Amino acid sequence: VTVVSMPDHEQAHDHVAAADAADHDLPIRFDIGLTGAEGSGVRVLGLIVRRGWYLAAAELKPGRPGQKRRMTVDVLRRDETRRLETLKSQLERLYDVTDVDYFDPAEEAARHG
Amino acid sequence: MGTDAFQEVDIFGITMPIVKHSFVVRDTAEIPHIVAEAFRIASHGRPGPVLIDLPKDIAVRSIPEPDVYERAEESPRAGAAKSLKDAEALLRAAKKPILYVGGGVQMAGAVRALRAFYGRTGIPAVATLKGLGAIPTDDEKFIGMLGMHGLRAANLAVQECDLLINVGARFDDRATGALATFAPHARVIHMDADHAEISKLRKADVALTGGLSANLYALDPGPMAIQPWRDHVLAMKAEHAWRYDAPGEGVYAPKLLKDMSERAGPDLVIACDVGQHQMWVAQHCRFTRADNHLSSGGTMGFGLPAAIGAKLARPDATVVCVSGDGSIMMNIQELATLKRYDIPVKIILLNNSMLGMVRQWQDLFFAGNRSEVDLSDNPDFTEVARAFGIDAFTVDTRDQVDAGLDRLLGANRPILMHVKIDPAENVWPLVPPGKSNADMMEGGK
Repeated sequence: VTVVSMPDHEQAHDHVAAADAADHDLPIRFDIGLTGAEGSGVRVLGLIVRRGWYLAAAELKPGRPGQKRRMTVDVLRRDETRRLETLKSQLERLYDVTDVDYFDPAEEAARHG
Repeated sequence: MGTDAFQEVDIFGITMPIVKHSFVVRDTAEIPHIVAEAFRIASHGRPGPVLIDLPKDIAVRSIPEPDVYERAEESPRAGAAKSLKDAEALLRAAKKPILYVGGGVQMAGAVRALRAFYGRTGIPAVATLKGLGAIPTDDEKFIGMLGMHGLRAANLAVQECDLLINVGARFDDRATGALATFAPHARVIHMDADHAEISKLRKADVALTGGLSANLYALDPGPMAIQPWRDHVLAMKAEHAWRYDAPGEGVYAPKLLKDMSERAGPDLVIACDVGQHQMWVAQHCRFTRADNHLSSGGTMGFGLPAAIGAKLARPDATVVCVSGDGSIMMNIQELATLKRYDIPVKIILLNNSMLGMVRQWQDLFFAGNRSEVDLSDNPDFTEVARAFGIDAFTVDTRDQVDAGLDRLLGANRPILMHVKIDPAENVWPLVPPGKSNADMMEGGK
């Protein structure tokens, strides 16, 4: 057994981030409507990560407790088996999600040649 | 909340990944609505747990008698007419169809509709672990469980089929083996109440979302000319039927479970734990109802509490908990519940002094590098049971099995039958991890 020193946190993080970013396209943007139920934003983000997507960015529009709100989330695939329609369906079945739409720049570019 | 008060934990956050939804009650006035919603969410569509977090300050308040909400029953409708027509066209064109039945059938309350569809089409069926019993497992055209520890004939039938009708199953990796090799010649009709399951892992040629019952009743392809295929599948079923002629004097668990299942009759509920015994139950016991087989999939400790629940729900049924020496220790304190309420659950404890399934995998796929599987220092389980006030006895040779089953099934109080089995016994057949269901390993005695 060879004992080596642990990489520091920043090095390890850079390594993981580089591996995650490799071979992936532009982020896909999800536009999500929320009921305003407690924890809805956290529930959405948790689902996205657990279902095998990399969270590239997220924004929750300002709001007060109980108010309907909108959220935009940019995601990257962690592998090619992940389907956007499946993630959309998984988000839609959350009780506190009212509607989901997404914009995939790669799909859009392909459509326009 | 949020001040780290005595015994405070973030139960809302901790449970978020494992519940269908959760509520925190912030005002007592919300309680009637939240409770009604919680029951609706838990039972609607794909059932799942809902957590209501009732903070201490809310729980100790007094409130006037609240209104109670009446819950509207929803009857999900069939899928789109075009999808139904497309599915019927695939059914009419199929020469080698297979019905692939999952746990979603029972969850959706669609057992009767499934049996009607199965009866009028005559399509041979296989089932997942959670789908067993939706079609009676002793029915002629029911082939068996598919997947990692399924019947070889069931896996071969799926591999050969040209149309796979998935009813309430998820293309789970334990059922499919290497997904890319699963049912390689088949078009797929996928019916599921949960639209997020459609094309998640295997692209469906036709998707039927909406109510499973409604879809199954609506689908009517007319007479199907599949007799040669049926004959072929039934011949495979006969060729690969289970064998019970293991040599030796030791107890052969598959035979014991088969005998128990036959003797107990059709109104038998078996609640399992997890491991080798769980697979033997699925392979060798008879299930005439989908809710006669209570198996968690993968949670050790599930069996005994599930059996208690089953016996309370169906007091006239014979309820047997089949467990292993690893699993029983996860919830052994529930023996106290059996005694306290005198619940006549019968326990078969198959003791191989091992975490048997883990040992099997370490032997087969990790070069025999065993780690933390030896349970040879187990307590004496009969003494443990007696300490809880539960009748218990041991069976350790084959010639004691018949008398043991007589005593177990004849008891009208809680009882534990402790069965010593060979620590080297494996569950066969087996699809190795990452391999095709066509590549089952065989072994056995």
